[in-house]
Amino acid sequence: MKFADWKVGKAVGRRPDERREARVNLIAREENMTRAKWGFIVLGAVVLALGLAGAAYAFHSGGVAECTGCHSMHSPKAGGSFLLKGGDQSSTCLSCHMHAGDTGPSSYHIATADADMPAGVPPKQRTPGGDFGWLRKSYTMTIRGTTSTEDGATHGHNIVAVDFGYVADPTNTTAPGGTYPSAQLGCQSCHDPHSANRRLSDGTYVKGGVRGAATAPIIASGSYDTSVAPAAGQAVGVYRLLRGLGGSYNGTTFNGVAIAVAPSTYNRTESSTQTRVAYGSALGNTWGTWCASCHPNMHSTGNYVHPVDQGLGSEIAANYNAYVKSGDLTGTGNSFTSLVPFMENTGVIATLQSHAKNNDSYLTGPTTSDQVACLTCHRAHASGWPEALRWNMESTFMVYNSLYPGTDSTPSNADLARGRLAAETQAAYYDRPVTQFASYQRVLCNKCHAKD
Amino acid sequence: MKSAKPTPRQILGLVAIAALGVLSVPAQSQPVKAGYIYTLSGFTGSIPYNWSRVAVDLERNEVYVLFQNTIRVFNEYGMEVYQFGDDLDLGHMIDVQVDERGDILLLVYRDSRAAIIRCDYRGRPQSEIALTGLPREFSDFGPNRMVYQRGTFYLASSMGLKIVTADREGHFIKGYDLFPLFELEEKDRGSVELGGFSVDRAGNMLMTAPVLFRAYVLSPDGNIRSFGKASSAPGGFNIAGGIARDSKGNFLVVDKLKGSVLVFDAKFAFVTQFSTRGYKRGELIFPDDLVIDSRDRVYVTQMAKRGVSVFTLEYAGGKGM
Repeated sequence: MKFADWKVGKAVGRRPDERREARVNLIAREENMTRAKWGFIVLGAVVLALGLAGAAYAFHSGGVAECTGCHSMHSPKAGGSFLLKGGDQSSTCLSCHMHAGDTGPSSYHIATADADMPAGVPPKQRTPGGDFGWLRKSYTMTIRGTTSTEDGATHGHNIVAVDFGYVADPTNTTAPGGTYPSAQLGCQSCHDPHSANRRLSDGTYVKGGVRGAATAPIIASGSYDTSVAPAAGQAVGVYRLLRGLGGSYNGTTFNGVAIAVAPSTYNRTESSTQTRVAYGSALGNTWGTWCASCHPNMHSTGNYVHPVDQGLGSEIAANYNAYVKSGDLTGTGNSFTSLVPFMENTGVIATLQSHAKNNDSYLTGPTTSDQVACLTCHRAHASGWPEALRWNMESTFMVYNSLYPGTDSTPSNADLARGRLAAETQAAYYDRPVTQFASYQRVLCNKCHAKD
Repeated sequence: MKSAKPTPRQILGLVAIAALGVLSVPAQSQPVKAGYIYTLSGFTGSIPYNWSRVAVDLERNEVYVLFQNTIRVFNEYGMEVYQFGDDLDLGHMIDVQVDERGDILLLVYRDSRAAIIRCDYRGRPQSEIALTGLPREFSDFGPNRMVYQRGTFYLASSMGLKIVTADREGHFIKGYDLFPLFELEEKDRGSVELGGFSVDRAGNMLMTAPVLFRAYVLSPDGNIRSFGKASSAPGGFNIAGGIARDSKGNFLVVDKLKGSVLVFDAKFAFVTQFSTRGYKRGELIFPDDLVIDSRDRVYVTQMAKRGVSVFTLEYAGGKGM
């Protein structure tokens, strides 16, 4: 440690320390002392305790959670809506799903607090969907004499969580390729906190909460490799409480079901082993269809765009399985990378559960009938790169001279560093050692297309 | 018949007994209320922090706030007087404390490894304190909370649910695995974390577990007690955050969703709650943590760039210490 190099701090006043000679003439900026006027805040007297303390930590449990976790019958936010306690829906979500003081990936946290990511420090969560903290990370760079800024807002879905400083997309007023209003985008746009959609014991999906209809109750989450298989007369929740089955929100109808299974420990560094979410599809229930609920014109048939929800075919599947890194197509199996996941051509949950691993015990690559999905290239929440892409598409090389690009590691290559430190680049790849890539690794389009 | 009038000696004895009785009884709960006094500020106004870390220097009545690797020091009137940090030379600062000599102690992370850096009062690093003697079951211990009190470090891992105490030089003293103490099952690992952590004047470790809707008091000998329940009514927890104890022995617990601070007496009986969610003076937006100084001033961190709000506690029998 270079103690001698440590910069001395900046005095903006003088401190009343016994070791300091000056006696401080304190300039106080005391605001009005209101303590005399402060009274007790006595809230409503109706006790709403539901006796849930104990096993309440499985909060959502595959469906609608404890009401008072998010709503207050008698002390909601003044002027708010839905009797919510938070300023808006997403702020209410983040009150649990973000926590100050995280030093690394932490369970169900999906965003890093501002306090924990000063300049040069990347967001800390490593969920498959990505850390919304990347939306707060803007990078300035000078490339070939032109200075530009990569706005953090380009890094993902700009949820509106006013209390936490997350604001609407400053560029897109509606969802790209659709009409969903950006100002209304929140966690609840995709996830239904009151989800009544469920998966029955026979594997079918049904909508609950329908007047005149009866169905099996949801007993637990159905999102994980460890989720129980519901017995007859039982059901589990749909993956991540995602909307679907024709349910509408803000004028957008979510058709079909988004099928997937995640390892029960999913928010983790991938420095040693990968976190594999097993995305599935069946009977038209595909991820492309689901994402198209808000982005219908993004990849629609007839547009000259990259295909989605389409079988990989023999050529692409063979490339994927053979691709190891730039210049190396010698792979013979175990070719999966979570930087380029694919959608399996099955909706059988037991099968997907056997594939959703975080210990590299299942790295089998795709078959010809497995499909490319939106999530093959994009993260659902946010990533370290523009358009929530899983890798840097703005440069030719992901790895340069065996180094992750950075203003510190490759200072002569600003086009590769893009204003980041090497550690930030590595974090965007979920901490993978640079040795997993070629010394001059090109973008991961090549995982399927093998042009490098 | 002998007169019942007490002699001076008897009166003196009664007074002595009464005094002894008063001194031997632990601090009892008293009606308490809190008044907002100000927000920590610089010369240009309130500092717009989001969920910062706060520590108080009990000896010198200074307040230290850590936010985005910069530490600002505030005087006893809440005015910024000094700042240092703002780069990553020492690593990523996670927590800050001040010892009895005025040295600043930083919990930092470098290359994913925790370290404690002792700095002088100006923030100039003097030495590194290595945590040594950790038993095998704590070999993966990664603290993200640090309290220093009377020569002892109290280090907590909020997600790992472990606490380690160490002496001034970092030598391991004792470890606590909260997992069994919270009576959790293995399947719950990773789903339960600490929402707040502090140490009271007697060395009891205070913590909250938001998803359990409980607050805990862990004595140095490992005895644990808890209180709290899920409820949006006064006295109930929605999402419990920071916890601290005032000079009268009351427990103060932040509730993030309520935007309030709940007060419980030494026997865990609910006393009152103060502040509410809002943007007006004295109201709070998603408060997260709190600390209490030697004068029973309460420093509450919050979101929405609302900074650190400061309240003063008043008791029926007079102000706090």
